[in-house]
Amino acid sequence: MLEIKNLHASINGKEILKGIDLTIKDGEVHALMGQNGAGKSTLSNVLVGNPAYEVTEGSVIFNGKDLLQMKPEERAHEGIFMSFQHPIEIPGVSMVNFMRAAVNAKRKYHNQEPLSASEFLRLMREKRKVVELDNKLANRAVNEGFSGGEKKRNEIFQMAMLEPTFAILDETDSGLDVDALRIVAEGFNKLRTPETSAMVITHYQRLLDYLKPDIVHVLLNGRIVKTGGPELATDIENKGFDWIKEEVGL
Amino acid sequence: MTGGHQYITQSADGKLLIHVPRNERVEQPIRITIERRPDEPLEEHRDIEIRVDESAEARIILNDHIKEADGQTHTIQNLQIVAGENSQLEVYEVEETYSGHLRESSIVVDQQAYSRVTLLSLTLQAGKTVNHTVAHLNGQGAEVTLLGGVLADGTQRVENHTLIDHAVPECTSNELYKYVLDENAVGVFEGRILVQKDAQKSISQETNANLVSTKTARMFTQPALEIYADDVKCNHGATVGQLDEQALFYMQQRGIPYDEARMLLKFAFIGEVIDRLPLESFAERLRHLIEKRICGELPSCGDCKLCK
Ligand SMILES: Nc1ncnc2c1ncn2[C@@H]1O[C@H](COP(=O)(O)OP(=O)(O)O)[C@@H](O)[C@H]1O
Ligand SMILES: [Mg+2]
Repeated sequence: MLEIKNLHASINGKEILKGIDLTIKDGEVHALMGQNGAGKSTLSNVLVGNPAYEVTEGSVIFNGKDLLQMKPEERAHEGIFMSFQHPIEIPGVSMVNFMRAAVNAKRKYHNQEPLSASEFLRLMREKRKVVELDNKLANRAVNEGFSGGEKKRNEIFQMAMLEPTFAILDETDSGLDVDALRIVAEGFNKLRTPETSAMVITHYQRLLDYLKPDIVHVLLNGRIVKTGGPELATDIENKGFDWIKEEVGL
Repeated sequence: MTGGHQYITQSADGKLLIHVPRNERVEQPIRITIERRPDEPLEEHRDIEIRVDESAEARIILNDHIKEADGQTHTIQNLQIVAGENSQLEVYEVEETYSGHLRESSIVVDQQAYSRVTLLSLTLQAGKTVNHTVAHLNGQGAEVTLLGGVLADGTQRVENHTLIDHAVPECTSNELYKYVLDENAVGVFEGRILVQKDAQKSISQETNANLVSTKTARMFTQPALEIYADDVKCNHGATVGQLDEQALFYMQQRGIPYDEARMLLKFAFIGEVIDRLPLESFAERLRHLIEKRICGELPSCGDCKLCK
């Protein structure tokens, strides 16, 4: 699915990623943990082609294609989705128009006819249920006036609409109360298939209890310094990162 | 000029009068489309008077449709509006001319007590346009709403100079002008709110917001409050910004192509003006025109969602 090799990236001239190697196979869920400022969001943004970040070295192959050569929208059409740590508000653009433009752009890329108005609204209705997104929210402008939790729910709703093969969840659990966390996590699990993979960034065990990652990585200071099974997340929950820092001499 | 409505008369010197007598409510919008016949002079002096008497109600649409000709076309428009006591009037002016046209327009509104007037000035296509709009709130409790939308690109230049004159107490004014400037376009907004000495309890809100989407387009804005009364609620503000890069990227991440994302943002921006129009059927028509206008900038966008 995804093969990252020796990836270096910087923002405003400051190097943040200092050589990331990471391979994610079809069907796998990887968790990415690490202290604030370690570079987790930077890695996510580089993968989806955020122009604010500059890749200075390394390669990323996604399903056999050179990801770094693609525009952000092409990466989306190829099946990559990112649930933003801080979803953006877009006043004046309705959720309906936004999603219709997104869904039909992807269909066009894959040489499919655009959805008719009624087909599209039916799809919206069906996918809203995945995360129990209120109809009122679906009729508003994108994220405008949404609470923190509603924004995160809306991210997973959009994921349901777009059916990506590789999803990045960047702290989707932060700002969610326990019930909302369960709904969002269960919604995510409903969208999983044996072919879809994910990279899940979180600080908390609770989300991982639902998502059951295959592999857990620790990102510190721009590098992946430790990789293990689900038990690594439990260790971090109990002991923090200091012991890992000592282990790797940071 | 076309019209043919019972409320419209034209005098020998060419002046157009739209007169709605006392208590009369005109439900259907009165539409006037201004075109130029090839045999008419290049320079046109246009005189229009709109009189809506006491407790009368009307909606008037003025479409300025001067097309390209053999030589420089030039319009000088004088529009006088008198809104009688307790009357209700909406005037929607839409300019769809072309890049070589020169338009100078002057609108003067005289509002009597408790009259409510909404004026829209929408510039969809223009060459050089200078609009002056003056609203005198001469009767207590009068309310005026000035709305403006400008879409300009190429070397177009659009100026709006407005003055709202709170001459007596307890009047309300609302003003919102929004510009979307592309390429080398130049926009000018000068908005003066004058609250005279005796005009206590005046309420006024003035906003000018501008989206300058290239490095070469320029916007000049100068909102100004001049207040000589002490018991008033007045606010004004102006902003000049670019397209929101983060919003563009968010849309791209969802698969919306960059150019289409830009158009969606421009449409959303100017849409706020249109959303304020009381006449929904006309607002819908304008949204359609604006979509077409925004897409026209990008000949390659033929199949984007907005252009269908
Ligand atoms: N726009 C920016 N300009 C400069 N530094 C930035 C910018 N954005 C993020 N950084 C820095 O990059 C580092 C990594 O940030 P980030 O990837 O967001 O970390 P994480 O998601 O792991 O908390 C931090 O030190 C942060 O301060
Ligand atoms: Mg982060």
